[in-house]
Amino acid sequence: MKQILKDLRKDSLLLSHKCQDGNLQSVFSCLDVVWTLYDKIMNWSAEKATDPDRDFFIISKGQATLALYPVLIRKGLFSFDEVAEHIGQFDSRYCIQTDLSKFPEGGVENNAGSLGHGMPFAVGIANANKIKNSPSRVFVLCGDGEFCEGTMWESCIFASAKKLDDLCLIIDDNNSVGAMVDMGDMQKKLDAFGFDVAVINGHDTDEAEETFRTIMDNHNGRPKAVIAKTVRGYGSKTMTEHDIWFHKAPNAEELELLCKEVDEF
Amino acid sequence: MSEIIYTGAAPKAEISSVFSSTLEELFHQDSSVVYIDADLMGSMKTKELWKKYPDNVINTGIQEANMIGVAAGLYLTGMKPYVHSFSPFASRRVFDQVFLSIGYAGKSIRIIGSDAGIMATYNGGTHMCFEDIAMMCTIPGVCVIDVSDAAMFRSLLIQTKDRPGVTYFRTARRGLPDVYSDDTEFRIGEGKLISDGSDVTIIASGIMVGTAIEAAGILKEKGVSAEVIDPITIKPLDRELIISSAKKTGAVVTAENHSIHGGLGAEVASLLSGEYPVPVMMVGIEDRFGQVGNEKYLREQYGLTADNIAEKALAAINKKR
Repeated sequence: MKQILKDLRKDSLLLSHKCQDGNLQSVFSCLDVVWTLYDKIMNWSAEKATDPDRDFFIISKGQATLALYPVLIRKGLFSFDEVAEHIGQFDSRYCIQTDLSKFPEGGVENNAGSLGHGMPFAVGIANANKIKNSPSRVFVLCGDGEFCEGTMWESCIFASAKKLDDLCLIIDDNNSVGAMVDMGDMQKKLDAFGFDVAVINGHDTDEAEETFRTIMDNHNGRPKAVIAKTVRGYGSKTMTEHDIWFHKAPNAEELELLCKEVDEF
Repeated sequence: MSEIIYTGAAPKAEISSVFSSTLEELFHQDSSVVYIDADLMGSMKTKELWKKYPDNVINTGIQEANMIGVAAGLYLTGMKPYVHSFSPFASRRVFDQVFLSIGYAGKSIRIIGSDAGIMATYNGGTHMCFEDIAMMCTIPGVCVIDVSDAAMFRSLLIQTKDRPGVTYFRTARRGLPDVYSDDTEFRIGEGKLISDGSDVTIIASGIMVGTAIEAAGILKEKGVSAEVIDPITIKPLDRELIISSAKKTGAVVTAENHSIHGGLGAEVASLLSGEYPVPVMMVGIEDRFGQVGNEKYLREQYGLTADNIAEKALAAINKKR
């Protein structure tokens, strides 16, 4: 694993320890994709966080917010010390699910938490961009389990009908839905809904970068979907093996152990 | 200057056609205005508008929840969304989206819920929404408007174009008699004193404003002087007007095409119980679901009649201390 991906994971662990909250399995499964988007793909920087033509990142699977903060820290939106000092306080703007009302200067694009909201919101932005001829692209990160929500499919129909080819849906497919219902073949489903679909190893940042570049360059009127095959807790042996880390924050001892595991991964 | 022109006769223009013409006016005034519908354009008579203004009109198909999320996204990029569906689908069905994606997220939207309450008539119980005011009033910063006539609808549609937060209109689509002259000015949080009175105050909204005027006529024949007030917005409520009227008459009856639980009556009672307690009687839907019928039949079924208002007014007067 690349050093930066280890460092980001350790930041997540520290922040989770600090606020004693977090869904670390979900954070670790999508972190590599989130980093790739911000580092290699998106037309975005902290300085142009309110530029109307920026690319948008919408975190629809809000439980992975602790994957976003470390990335935004590296990209200079705020400092690690600032987040670490305030996260977990009741009046902190660094909520465990992003809260855009606390970022009037931009950088956080949506209120996460209630599943099935981010995708329609992203589709609305992409639709407006189309109307306004903006070059802006919209990337929305969803969970595989989130596709149980009806609004996800409503927005897929609409995105396809509106030919929103600057929209990229990313499914963090860490097989969490397997425990609920059988969703069948998501690739075929999304293809049938009119999306260009790619399936990648969500922990291979080179493959992710190449896929995002290729798929977004295809202006064929079809919205894009990237199904990132991921592993819950990827980057820590303990976390991949024990689902208690779906929603658990490490104590001091666990923090040390998990950081060590990340280093050795 | 404005005057009350209520006769009970059919209106000059139906709400649906006023909706279309007002949106067209808004599109010309501000190109960022956008109207979104979840495939009820036929019912709201806006299909022509869709053809004429393809960049300002969006049909999402039958997907109300997604429509609200899309509206939130459109707002983020500087557009000013007006969305429409029938009232149960514009409120109850999408409440989580309205509450979170718009209200909590600090977006701005205007929602038009048509066929409010008994005005769903033949569509029956599934389409008959008696609870939208109750739900919407719980959203911080919301403006809830029970539309009394076309002049008020047009004026407030224009006025709320840039209003932050959630603005919710509930309205009939047709058959809503004119109450106010065209030159009437309306403001959010400013009620209208329709007629002066001294014995009892009738506070009525939406389709019940005309009925309240008729009830005041019935009471006058019995020697009772009734004051009639239209709150215009149920939230924010015109506190001063309502408190001063309660002080003057000492008895209140409310009338609404909505459940008595959480609607106009509940808001008025909540206000007066703290500020100036007087007997408050309520005319509205009393813990029942909707059903099929025409307007006249449904008004009788649920007691949304001038006779019932007059009866409750006398009861309120009898309860004065």
